[in-house]
Amino acid sequence: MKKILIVDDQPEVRELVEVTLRIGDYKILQASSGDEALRIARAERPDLMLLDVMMPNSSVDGFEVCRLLKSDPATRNINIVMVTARGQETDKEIGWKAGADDYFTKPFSPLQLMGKVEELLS
Amino acid sequence: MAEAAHSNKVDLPADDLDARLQRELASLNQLSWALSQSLDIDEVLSLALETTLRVIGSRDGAIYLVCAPGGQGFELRAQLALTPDAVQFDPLIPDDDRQARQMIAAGGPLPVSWCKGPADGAQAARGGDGGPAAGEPDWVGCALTARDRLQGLMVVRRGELGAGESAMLRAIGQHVGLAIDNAQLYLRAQQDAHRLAEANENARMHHVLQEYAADLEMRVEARTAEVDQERERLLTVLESAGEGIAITDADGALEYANPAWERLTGQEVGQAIERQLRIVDEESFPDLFASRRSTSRYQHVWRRELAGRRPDGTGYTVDLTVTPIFTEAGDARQLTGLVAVYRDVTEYKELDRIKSEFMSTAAHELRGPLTSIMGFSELLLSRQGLSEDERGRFLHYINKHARHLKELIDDLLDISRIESGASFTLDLENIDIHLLLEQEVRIWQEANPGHTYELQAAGAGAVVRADVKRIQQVVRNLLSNATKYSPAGTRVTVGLTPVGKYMEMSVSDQGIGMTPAELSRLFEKFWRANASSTADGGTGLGLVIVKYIVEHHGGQVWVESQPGKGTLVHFTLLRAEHPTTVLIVEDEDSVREIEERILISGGLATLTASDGQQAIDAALAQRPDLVLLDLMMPGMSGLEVLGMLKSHPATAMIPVVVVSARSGWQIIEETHMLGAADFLAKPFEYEELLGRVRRALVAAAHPAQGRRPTFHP
Repeated sequence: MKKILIVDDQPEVRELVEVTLRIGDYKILQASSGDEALRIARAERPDLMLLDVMMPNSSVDGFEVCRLLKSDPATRNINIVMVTARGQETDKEIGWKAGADDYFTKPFSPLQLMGKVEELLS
Repeated sequence: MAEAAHSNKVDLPADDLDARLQRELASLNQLSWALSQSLDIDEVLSLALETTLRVIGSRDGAIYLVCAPGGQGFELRAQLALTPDAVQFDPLIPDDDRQARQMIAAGGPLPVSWCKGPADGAQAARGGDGGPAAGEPDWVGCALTARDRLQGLMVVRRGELGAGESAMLRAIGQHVGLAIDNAQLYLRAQQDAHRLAEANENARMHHVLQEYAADLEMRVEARTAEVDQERERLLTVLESAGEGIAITDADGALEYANPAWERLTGQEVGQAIERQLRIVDEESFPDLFASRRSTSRYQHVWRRELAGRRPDGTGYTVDLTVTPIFTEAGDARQLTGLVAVYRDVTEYKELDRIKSEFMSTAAHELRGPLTSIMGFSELLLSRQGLSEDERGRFLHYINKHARHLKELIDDLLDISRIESGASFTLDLENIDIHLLLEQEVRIWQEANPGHTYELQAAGAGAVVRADVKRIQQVVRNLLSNATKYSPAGTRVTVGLTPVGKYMEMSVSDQGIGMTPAELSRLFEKFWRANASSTADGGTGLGLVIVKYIVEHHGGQVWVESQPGKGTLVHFTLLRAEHPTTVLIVEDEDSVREIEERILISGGLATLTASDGQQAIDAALAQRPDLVLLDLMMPGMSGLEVLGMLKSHPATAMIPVVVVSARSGWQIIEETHMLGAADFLAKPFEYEELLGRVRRALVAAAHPAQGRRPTFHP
């Protein structure tokens, strides 16, 4: 069973993603801050991360979490999809530079998100 | 010689002599007359010679005049000759020839020996005592004198002269001399006159020239002053221009700059010129320098947006326009300088940046709630097998975020309205602020059970003049902030205190508070103390809108906060002016309505009661400023009502104006004794009712000046 880590500071958004992915055969993990995300990612080595960028309650933002995980050989294989309300080109570029595998802009269609996840994990 | 000539003629007959004398006299007269006819010297000379030759009986002759007064030698001035070269004398009388001078003084014929010889060039030398050689033509000279001065010499070809002829020649010489003298005098006079006239003319011209010069000088001065004035005006325009204006040489080195340039660039003009600061160079205007040698008449203007930095480190952005100055030199056109105009676009750029940042922030803020709305609605539509509980919860999320979205959009519209300066109309009415706060606290308490909401009011029943929807918006905004920035389990306190003509409201929390730096940015658009939290974030526009609404109401907003000690937001609203209210007590509907209309038209508020008990109740509850009281009513009479009002401490001071169809001094006295302020008999005039009521109100407001109502328990 593939493991997916959902990282977002808003419980509602985590619930939305969780319900969306529920029909797949995944083990869903959740984190509400960057720090928590790093801890769980290092411990659980998920196959995929859906990573929010702005988490005001965290000492590191999503880009930094991505960069740290991608620069660590132990975690660099985790597929990382940035999910953020910031949809500007510069933000996407920061995401690519941090090593993100894909980029999803809020608001998103749960069906499309599901498709993307399946594509990345197949 | 004269004697010899004379002796040669003695044998002439007397009658012949007489005839000749007469002829000679006639000739002299003729000569005199002829000579007097002209003052032209050459005419006089040729006339004199012609006449003399005729009188003497000769054909050849010439007149020489002394060159110039006091000059040397003679000049030929007239001649009559058979052959052109017949007379070629060169008369020369040496200055030292005393004999000649004596002879001239005597006026006699002169010896021809003085004269150069005839045409053959040989000297016709004749001694004074020697006669003319046989066969050779004889020449006789005659001095032309006037005023004892030799004027000239006349020579005629003639043999020896008789005594009469000599005398006649002498006379002719004197005549001609005088005529010449006259002519010369005349000529001189004429010349003098001419010279004088010329001198006059010169003097006049000189004067004219002087005047012209003076005029020219004045005009030059005036023109110079004009030019100076024009220069001054242009300089004032340049110096006072809001845009930076600089003039450079052809290479872009600064030659002049106005104060605006100085302010914009932070450079001192004098120093910049001294340093030969190049404000236009190849780096920023390559095409200008590439084409500046072009002789094209086409006046190109170069324009660039350039960023600069002042010596103090602050940056600025300018829209720089450079225009070349060409000087025409004949056909050539030479670039002699550049004019650079600096338009400061720093603020504009900053506004542009803020605006795009705003757009980005606003878009981001809208995406937050949309994520939930779109996501959960799609799940509800497409996903089978959701539990009833989940469906309900998802619908609740959607509804909550849709509301949030609406609030965001309202905020954005408000800000847009505020920004554009469009009318922000307030629907003002008297609202009970205490009631409004009570309701809001209740609503918030229900919606947020995690927090404790409390109203501490010292101004129960306080009425403010405000737009109820806008004030609700203000209160909700402040409660939202207080809830958002304080942990669950803490208390949010809403305060209400009357302060002078204002009601002061406050919302305080026990939250995280703010640093002074954060506090100073509180009313900036889109700013939020701790970054963004899309959970229940806002546009960051809330406090901007609160401030605008409150200030638009004539109130104020201020904030007190310390990190960790919570935040206290105050705002004030003007208290509604308490309207002067009259309680109308009248059982007859039509009368009550008339009274009401009259009082309202007079700017008073009214309360009505149709019987005694209603009147007492209304007076106690509403505390009217005056009671208009009918006496004859069913049930409790007016007199009873009057007595009761005056006996209750809460209503005793309310002036009562009695209105009654009953009249007579007894009833007037009775109501007065009970404490009525005035008595008005029915029927009454419109003006009289209003007048009495106003007088009673004034008297009640200033008890010392009016009759105090007397109270008898």
